[in-house]
Amino acid sequence: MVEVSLIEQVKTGDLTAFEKLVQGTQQRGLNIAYGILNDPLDAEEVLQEAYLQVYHNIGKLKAPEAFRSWFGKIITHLAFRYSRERRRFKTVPLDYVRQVEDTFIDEPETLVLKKEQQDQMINALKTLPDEYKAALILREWEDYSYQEISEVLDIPLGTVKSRIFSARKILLKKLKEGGF
Amino acid sequence: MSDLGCYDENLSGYLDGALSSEEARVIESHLQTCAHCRDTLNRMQALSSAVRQVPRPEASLLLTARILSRIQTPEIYAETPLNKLLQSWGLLNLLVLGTLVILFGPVLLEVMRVIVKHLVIVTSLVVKLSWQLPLDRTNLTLGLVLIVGAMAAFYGFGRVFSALSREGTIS
Repeated sequence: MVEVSLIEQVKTGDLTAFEKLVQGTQQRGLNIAYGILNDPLDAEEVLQEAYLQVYHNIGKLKAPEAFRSWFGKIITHLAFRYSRERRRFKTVPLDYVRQVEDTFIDEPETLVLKKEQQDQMINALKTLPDEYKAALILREWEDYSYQEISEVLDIPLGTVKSRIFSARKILLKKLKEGGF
Repeated sequence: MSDLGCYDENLSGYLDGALSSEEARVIESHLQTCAHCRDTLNRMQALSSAVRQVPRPEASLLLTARILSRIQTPEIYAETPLNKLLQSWGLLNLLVLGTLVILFGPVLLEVMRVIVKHLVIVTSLVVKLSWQLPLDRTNLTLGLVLIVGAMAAFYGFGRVFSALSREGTIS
């Protein structure tokens, strides 16, 4: 949870406060962007852009306590746009993605079993439409409530419910073949 | 019945604690009698836990520095009206200078050669002449305008050059 006083300081243009804000929120922001884009480098690019928007537009944020939703909204919108542009101009080199994912730290003794499941899960997640992925990732990785997701994605509560459900349904179907 | 029949959508909401107490009660009482929904809920729970375990990349240590540097850079190159004016002034001066060099290049070169050759005489003449000029308001204003104008032109052209370099037009 970001402190209200920190947001107020950032609003005055205090760069030290902004640096603190970035350090305190960047991992969460990266998770959301990565969850939608499935590429660490693209996610970081989107995150940088998101923080530029945060810095230049934070004055428009009326309620500092709504920062979490506001920040999530900026990232998801930018990630959706990036994803659309990527589909139009570029294909993700799958070998490279695999190589990056292999560098994640894990416990060696559980690596073999978990790795296989995780690979299945990552591949299944990649097949989800961006809108479903965003709703599910906000819920599962960042513990956003349905209300917060509705604010972030600008959709009614009922749509949040059905998107998360649909995402789960697709994943279960995809993973069923793998014995999940 | 479909694979995720009964209260499938509400089961997902139930798992996330997003149902009203009334809806949750209905689900709970249904779960007691429906093995299919119990199984679905278990699978959704397992799925949720597996999704949460998916590894995520760690934010790079340089990320904050990169963001801060991107924030500070545009301030230097900000397209304020004053900066735009200075850039235009720089370009205009460059254009005038370029035209003069093209039109009177050989003459200017000859003048420069003479000045350099007789630098001592020229300097003393300029100093003598400047002492003879009255220090009135008109001369001071003219001098100030010339100095400021030249400095602004240099600065403006420097900005144009930097902007072009940043855009990658000039490597």
